[in-house]
Formats: sequence, structure tokens, C-alpha cells
Amino acid sequence: MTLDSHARAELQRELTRLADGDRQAFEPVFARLWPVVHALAGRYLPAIDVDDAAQTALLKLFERAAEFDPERDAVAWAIGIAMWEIRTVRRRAWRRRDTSGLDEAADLLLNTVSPEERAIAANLAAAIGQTLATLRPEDRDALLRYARDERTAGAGFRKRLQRAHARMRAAWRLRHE
Amino acid sequence: MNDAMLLTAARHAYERGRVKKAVRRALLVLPFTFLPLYACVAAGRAALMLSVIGTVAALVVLFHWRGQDFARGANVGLIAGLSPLLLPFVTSWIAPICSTLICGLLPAASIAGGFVAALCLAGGSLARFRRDFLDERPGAAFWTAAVSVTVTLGIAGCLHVGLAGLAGMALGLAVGTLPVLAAYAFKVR
Repeated sequence: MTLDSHARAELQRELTRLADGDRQAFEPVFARLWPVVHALAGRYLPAIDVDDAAQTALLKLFERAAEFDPERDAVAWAIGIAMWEIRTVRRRAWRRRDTSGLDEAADLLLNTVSPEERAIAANLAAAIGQTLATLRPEDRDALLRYARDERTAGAGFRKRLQRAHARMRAAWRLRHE
Repeated sequence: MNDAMLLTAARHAYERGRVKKAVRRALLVLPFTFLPLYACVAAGRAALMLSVIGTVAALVVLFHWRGQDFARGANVGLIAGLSPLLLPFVTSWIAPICSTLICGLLPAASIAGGFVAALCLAGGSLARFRRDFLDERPGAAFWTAAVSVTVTLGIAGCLHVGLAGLAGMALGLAVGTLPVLAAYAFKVR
């Protein structure tokens, strides 16, 4: 979702009016910003989190609309606030997934092997978890998607995965070799 | 949440944001209004003074929440109101030998405060509207906010002087407004 120069200028004007207290500018700003914020969330979050994150970001944006400085670019301002919220949601989701993923893996291992192998597997899972935690979120995302067989088609994901593998290998070597 | 619910929630979020901004603005101003409180307590008008301070806070929050001309007027009123708020107070500190019963210094300070406030109101409104809207004249919303904030701040400043202080401030405001009204009438003619 991109805004052409006319739409950007309109948004700048309407957001300036809204920041000044003109309630009539509310609906036009809402109509312009909602698709932008939703598309932005769709680009950076898995489908399941998009709606919630976009709504939270939009509400935060309107809560801060009165603080908008007309000297600043409206689109950049809106995207800045929305991205911050999206990043927060992403971080929260990552923390949730990281823990639950490792727990599931540990449970699976604990139920199928001998006590000695269990201890080794638990150590290995902990070591993998610690190494994963040192990676950037996008690398972790790529590796976990690959592990869960949730990879998306296309060269973009392949390249991301390749880079993530290389970084994971380097991090593993640094910590464990 | 469907689109209609989201629109309502966004509207509430916007209003909440405006109230927060207005409260922050009021919190910036309130410490100044507490300056003459000690003098008012000494004059036995503490309760009245506290209600005036409450009124100042409520007006600033209301006008800044509403925005547009109301907020611009309140800003000008806040600057204009500083002189009647602080002049009598400062005078009471630099003239400790004066009592309100036998000394005309404090009522004179109230008159001066009112006069300066009227000039500030006129100058502030002119400067503000020249800068933002070129030749557009300030509307009723602007003047309502500006005058009510100035007068309430003035009352907070002159209350410890008594009735003489309040009348002095009103006189100063009226006298200060005369040249502006004259210039305005001359321009209209």
C-alpha cells in the first residue's frame, strides 16, 4: 500500500487539522491511515497477528494525533508510530513462540528416549535456544519457519534462510567450538 | 473488531490523547497559580483561591481539549494572564511595609497587571493571527478562551489584595482595551 503525492499532501493537511482539534478531519484521516497501517502490519507480521497489531497501532496513532507537529511529514510520522507498535507486537509474539517452541521440543524428546539421551537432548535444546536468542528476530523467524515447515515460496525466503543459517552457524561456532 | 467499532475506538483514543495533552498543559501552568496562595491564606481567602485555581485548571484543560481557536485563545490568555497574576504578588514581596488597608501600592499593581494583560491580549492575538492566518480576524471562540483565562488568572493574582485588587484589575483591563478598540474602530471606519 503506497500513497501517491496527492494523497500524501491531503493526509498532511488533514492530520494537521486533526492535531489542531478539527474533528471533521477525523474520518478522512482514518480512511487514509487504516489501509496503510494494515498493509504495514501485513508486511512484517504473520497473518494471525496482523489485524490485532494493525488495530493497536491505529489506536495508538490516534491517541497521539494531537501531538502531531505540522512541520513533520505526516506519512513518516504515522509509519514511525505504527512500526513501533508492530515491532512491540512482534517482540511479544517472539518471546511467546520461542518459549513454547522449546518446551514442545523438550516434551517430545522427553517422552521418547532414555534418561541419558533425554539429558543430552535437553542440553542440546537449551544450547540451540541460547544461540537462537543471540540472532536477529528476522533470522530466528526464518529458521523457525524452516524448522516448522512453514517456509514461504520464493527466492526472498530462500536467501533469508541462507543468511540465517550462516549466522546461526557462526554464532554456534562462537559459543560451542 | 469490525470497522465501525474500530472507528469508535479510534475516536475515543483521539479524545483521550487530547485530554492528556490538555492536562499536561494545565500542569505546566498550575505551579504559577499557586504562587499567590500563601498571601491568600494570610488574607483568609484560601478556599476561594483554591476554587479559582481549580477553575483555571478546568478552563485550560477544556479549551486545549476542544482545540482550534479555543486552544489558541487559551494560550494567548495564559501569557496575558501572567501579569495580573504575578505583579501584585511580586509587589507584595517588595513592599512588605504596605498593608492593603493603608497602602495603594497593591491595587495600583493590580491596575498595572490588568493594563498589561489587555495589551498582551491584543498584541498576542494580532501576532498569532498574522502569523497563522494572515488577515483573518480572531473569532468569538478565541476571545472567549483568551479573556476567560486571562481574567481567571488575574483573579488568582489579585484575590489576596481584596476587592480593591479585583476592581483595579478590571479597571486596568478596561483601560488597556480602549486603545485597541479605538484602533479597531478607526480601521473599520
